[in-house]
Amino acid sequence: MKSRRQHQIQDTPLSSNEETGGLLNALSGWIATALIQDLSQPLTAIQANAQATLNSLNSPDPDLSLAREAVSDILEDTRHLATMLETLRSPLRQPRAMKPTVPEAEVRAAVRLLTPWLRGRGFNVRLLTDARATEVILNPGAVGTGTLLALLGLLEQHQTEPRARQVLTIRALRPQADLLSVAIEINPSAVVVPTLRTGAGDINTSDDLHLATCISLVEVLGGRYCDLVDARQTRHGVQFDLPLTVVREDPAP
Amino acid sequence: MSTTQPIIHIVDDNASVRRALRRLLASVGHETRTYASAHEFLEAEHPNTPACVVLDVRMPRMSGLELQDRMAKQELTIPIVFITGHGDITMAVEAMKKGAVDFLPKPFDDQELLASIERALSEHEQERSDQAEQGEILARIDRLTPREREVMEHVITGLLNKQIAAELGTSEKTIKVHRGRVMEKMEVVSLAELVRLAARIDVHGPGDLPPAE
Repeated sequence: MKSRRQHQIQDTPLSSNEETGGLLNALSGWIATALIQDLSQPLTAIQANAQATLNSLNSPDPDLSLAREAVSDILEDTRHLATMLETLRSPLRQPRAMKPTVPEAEVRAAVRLLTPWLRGRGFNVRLLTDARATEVILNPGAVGTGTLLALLGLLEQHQTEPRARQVLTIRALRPQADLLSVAIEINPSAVVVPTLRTGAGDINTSDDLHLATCISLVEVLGGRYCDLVDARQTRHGVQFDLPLTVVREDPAP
Repeated sequence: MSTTQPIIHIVDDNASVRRALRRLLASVGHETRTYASAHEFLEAEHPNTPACVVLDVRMPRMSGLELQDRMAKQELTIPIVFITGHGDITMAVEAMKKGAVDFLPKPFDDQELLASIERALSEHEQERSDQAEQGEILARIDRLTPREREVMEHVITGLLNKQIAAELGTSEKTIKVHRGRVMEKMEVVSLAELVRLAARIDVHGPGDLPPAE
């Protein structure tokens, strides 16, 4: 049985700040998990290369060419790590007073809640709050694509019935133009297909932080990914498949 | 049994990690082969030598866990040491249940990796040795006539010649002759030794031996 105080807490509407704080809290968790994956690759390589160099130099007949190559790779991986950290430093060091609240809201409301935060950090956000589709346009940079995928995770949390699992396909391409666009289509009778797209271009999963973050987030969501190649076997993107709960379609106005 | 040097197969889609592990293992005297994908590993020829696979979990198209399943289906029995940047308990449990030797989260200590590899190679060596011994036993069994097989299946249960003769509807003397031939063809000098050989191929009594060709 609930006390009067519990009822009061339950019935008190959450302020916009509290709701945003809750969402950001969840979002930070997603990104942090993704970062563990992204940072572990170069760290593993650095550690193994350093140990190999040490082993070689300690041997009676040191292999200097092996040591030279290993140190060169260590430098490259260190630079890669530095780039990652530089990219991430700005959004992650913002002080936040967050309360872990999960507002009961529809998808559109969840997206709308994030808008002030995104705008406050230099993102250009446009929302089409149609009942069937939500479009967000962000400037690339910082943890852009990672943020968007985290956003998808948040959207999932806010989806209600039915709970049937469907396959979600996300196409991510390296940002070439000024804007990176994301379209999230929501339709209960079809597979949910959010699409990240911009100009075509080669992609390198190991060097592209945004994509690496995407991959990690997709995996956190329990998804899979594979390279997209054209007829000439040139890699031009990555396709993500992950399960997501389908949202109920709003009644037509 | 071949005495060639063991091969460590490194399967990881990250080129930097692949190169670094190859160098690390080479620096301690291991022979390595590297593959950028699970498909590349499956398409390669694998010589009949002691080996182990250092396998990344997360790879495009076919994950490390899927490769583990494919290897099992293809009866490619090379022990696996999984490495992963994002492993959870469920994933690790699944991999270990399917026979993985270890599940190391990246970044890992080199001693930890080397210890797992040594364990994997030792397991593979043991498995290869078991398989070779079983192959040898089966080859000896192939030399037995159908009747000798029947006699052997009864002998290993501890029955006396007289009892076996009654079971098979023949004379004790005939069983004695068959028994002698079984011991000779199986290259054993005692019943205990014969029972041990039979147990190695999971034969414990009548009906357990594979049918004669």
